[in-house]
Amino acid sequence: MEATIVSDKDRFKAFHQNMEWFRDHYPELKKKYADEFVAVNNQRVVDSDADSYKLIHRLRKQYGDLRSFAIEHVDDGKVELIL
Amino acid sequence: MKISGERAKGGLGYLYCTVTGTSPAFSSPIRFAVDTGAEATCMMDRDIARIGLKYSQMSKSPRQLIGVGGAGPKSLLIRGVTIEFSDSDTPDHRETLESIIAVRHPRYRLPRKKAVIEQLPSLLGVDILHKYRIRSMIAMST
Repeated sequence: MEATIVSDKDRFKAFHQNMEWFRDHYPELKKKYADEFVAVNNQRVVDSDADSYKLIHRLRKQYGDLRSFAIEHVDDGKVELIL
Repeated sequence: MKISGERAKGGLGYLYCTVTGTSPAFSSPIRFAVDTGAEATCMMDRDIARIGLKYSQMSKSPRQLIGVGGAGPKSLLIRGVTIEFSDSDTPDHRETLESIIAVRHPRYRLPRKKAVIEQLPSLLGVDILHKYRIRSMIAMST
């Protein structure tokens, strides 16, 4: 099997694009995935789950390296962040 | 020197960075929420899990964490940290820290509480922010 070497810069670019895709498609995602975590890779949703750990565990098995994935929560409007 | 970010979840300000650590050794892109109320920069459970870091590879922090959510989470240390800001007017602008905090919340059984904790973003704290002047712009919708 051929190993793929990804530079930090390429990984950052892919992560940033996935996060931007999540932000730009938020209205559609809200209709379909409200109160769930979605995983975005190559600028599309590849999986979702209400439990982020279950989602990450499943993704790890399938993809291995998740560092360029956007794994974000789709807000249902019930939570307010006070940090 | 100017670093640009975005407004996103909750109307908070966020910055995109590449974080590199020596112990445990890793390098990964991360989005931090800019938090002038956080004494230290910290990575939350979801980012730790996404990157694939193990808490067992980290040493315990001698300091207890306390915040608006109480004092429940454990704090561990990621050492030898470099944070590279990509959206800056100086290419590859970096900041280094002896350590940042890896936050480990208890595994709550109540689904709602669990889901809320899992939403918390990693935080860029005043250990970095004190070097900069922060300017806030118009909020985005998400």
